[in-house]
Amino acid sequence: MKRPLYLLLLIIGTGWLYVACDLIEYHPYDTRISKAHRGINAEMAAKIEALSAGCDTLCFAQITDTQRWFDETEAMVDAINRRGDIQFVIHTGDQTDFGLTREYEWQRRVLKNLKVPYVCIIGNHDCLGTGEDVFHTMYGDDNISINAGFLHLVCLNTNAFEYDYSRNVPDFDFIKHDIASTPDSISRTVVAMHAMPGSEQFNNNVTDYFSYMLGQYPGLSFCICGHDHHGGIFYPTNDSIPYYECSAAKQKNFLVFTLTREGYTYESIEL
Amino acid sequence: MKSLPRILLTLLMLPSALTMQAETGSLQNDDIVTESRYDSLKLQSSRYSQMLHRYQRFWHGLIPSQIKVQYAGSIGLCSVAAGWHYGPQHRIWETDLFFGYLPKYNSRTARTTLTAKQSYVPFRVRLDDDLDIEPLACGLFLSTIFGEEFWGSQPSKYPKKYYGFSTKIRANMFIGQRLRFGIPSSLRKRHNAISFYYEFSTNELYLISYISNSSLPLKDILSLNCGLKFELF
Repeated sequence: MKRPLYLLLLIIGTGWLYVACDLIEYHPYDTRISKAHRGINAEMAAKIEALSAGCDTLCFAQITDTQRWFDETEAMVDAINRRGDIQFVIHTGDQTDFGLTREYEWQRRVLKNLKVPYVCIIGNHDCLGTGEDVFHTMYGDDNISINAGFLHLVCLNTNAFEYDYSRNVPDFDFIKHDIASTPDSISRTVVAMHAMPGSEQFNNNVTDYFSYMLGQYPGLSFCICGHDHHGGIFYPTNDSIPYYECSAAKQKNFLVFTLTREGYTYESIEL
Repeated sequence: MKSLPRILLTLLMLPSALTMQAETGSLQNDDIVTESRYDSLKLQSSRYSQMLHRYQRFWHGLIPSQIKVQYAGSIGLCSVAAGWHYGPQHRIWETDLFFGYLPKYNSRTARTTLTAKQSYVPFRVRLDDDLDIEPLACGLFLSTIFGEEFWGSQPSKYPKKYYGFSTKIRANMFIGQRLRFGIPSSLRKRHNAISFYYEFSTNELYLISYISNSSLPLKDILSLNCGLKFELF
């Protein structure tokens, strides 16, 4: 009687554990990321560069601050997919609320349903706990730039407050080298960030130099940002560069920009 | 926050240290009170012996009656606990203090965690002579992680209510089951029973995310752990 009973319990137990493998978590901040989910930004940037090479018109969407609004983000992803004219998507930060490893996974699962490539920028909430480490593993560097046809797209970390201004945020070294290495075929530049100048996250001591440096990019057209959850068009710097702010995913708001060499149009969509 | 365990320990030791000093004046630096000496002391001074008896009984009651070893469960890759079981019937209440280890993975450094866990195990069903199943174990645990990136409440640099939560402390609840192997007294070496347990747990931040999003399946917010409990007495 005894042996078969123990054996049966053992088999049930092992089978049960095998099924439940997915549910193993060492800590909400454990930073364990599957190998297949790493380096997303670099992979997506290559796709964006490939698909937009030689295009005369470029159309991209911006979503932002999707933290803890998974249902709403899903709805926006569906809406972007349905439109069909959008070539790529930029997420301008705060995909997590608490910086938890699983929050990153849940957001990735929603964003991977996009039929077009997407890149993500780090937001202040994404820095919390070990969130920053997860961002670096999952997406890559804080600052990247993409040459999408005639458009140079710059993605910057601007959350200086999270680092007590002790790190190069915004990283002028990156900006300087990026300007120097921008190819001649570029006629427009768009800069994307999470928090714009004037925000409590931005290092407002360097705003003037920041706008001066961005002005060195060929054909700087506008900047896009999030963070404030309200949306609108702002001119926070002393040049006339507009900053388009997208509101949080709660409002199911996303922005669509269509650019040509001659000009661009801006559309704010609320579902 | 780092010195908290030390402060707690000092506070615990303080009353006993004081009584010891007051009462051992006549003892003249005897470190160990052997049983025979204890008996003779009892004759000498009943007030002293009562005090000593109470003191020893108090500390005796704090000797952990169980050890747990656990895999996963949101408090580290692995964790060990010292704990106490108590209460009526089959000692249906348990309190454990876990110390957990979390390797660095993709972060900057490995970390440790501390967890206080309260369990309620109301039923025990006999399957075999030395085998019981405990179909329900549930309770709560508070867990803290060490590291300068984590704070109990937002640092003072932030405006009010900027981050209205703690990255350091997690409040969790759990539900699970156990299988208990009693060790016949002839075979006992260190323990009188060993239990295997598994539990599903979730924390308050996952719960908030789950409640406000219909697209998150329940399994997303669950964390599974399994472990062994060794009952010492």
